[in-house]
Amino acid sequence: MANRLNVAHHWLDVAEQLAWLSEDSAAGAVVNFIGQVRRQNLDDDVAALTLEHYPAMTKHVLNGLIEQAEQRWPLIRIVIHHRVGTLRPGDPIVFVGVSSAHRDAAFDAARFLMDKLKTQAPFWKKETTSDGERWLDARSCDEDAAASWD
Amino acid sequence: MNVLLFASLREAVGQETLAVDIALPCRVEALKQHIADQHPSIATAQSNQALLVAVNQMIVGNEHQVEEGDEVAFFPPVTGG
Repeated sequence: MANRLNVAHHWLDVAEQLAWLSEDSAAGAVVNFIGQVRRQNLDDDVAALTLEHYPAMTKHVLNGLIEQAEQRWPLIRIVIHHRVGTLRPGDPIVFVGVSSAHRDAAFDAARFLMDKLKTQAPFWKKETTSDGERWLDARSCDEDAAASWD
Repeated sequence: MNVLLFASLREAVGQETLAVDIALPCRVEALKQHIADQHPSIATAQSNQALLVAVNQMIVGNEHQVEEGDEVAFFPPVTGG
């Protein structure tokens, strides 16, 4: 089992990550998710999205989620890359990639990691719209999605 | 002791770190109340159930005991991903 965890201002080379996830020929399935900045949110045009985090805790939480995923599914490799700083509509925010022998484990683990990341990892989003800046509220549907794994 | 603030709470209070004069150990609930008494924005977050507390980088409940030397942080519900 190997994994890559990174929180950074920059994005990553997606092709290189997919190549790394698929490198081990025991992997019959490679799944990835990319979250990106929507140009519209809550009926407003988004000019920018700024992400802040609590660095010491972020790594702690994400490492914990990777461990949980490894215990729950027979995974081969995991990549989590999350950006911080100011982003524009269309910019990628997060990459989660998983490889495993079969697709069910890879799909489930990727979804588990995203659902838990959204409700447990200490990142916060502030949007800039034509009306000014606003911190986004947590959504109950994200809580429900995360709780569905418990 | 010092309490780290993040995101909307940091902006509302206008400080990244709050110096808090409270006898330790104390329960998280008492610490929240102590800070809320001095900072209305923390009181508002608390009454809206929009205040999370982490001790040594783990989210904890009201019953948790804060000890000398613990790293304590207050922040709103998270919105990453």
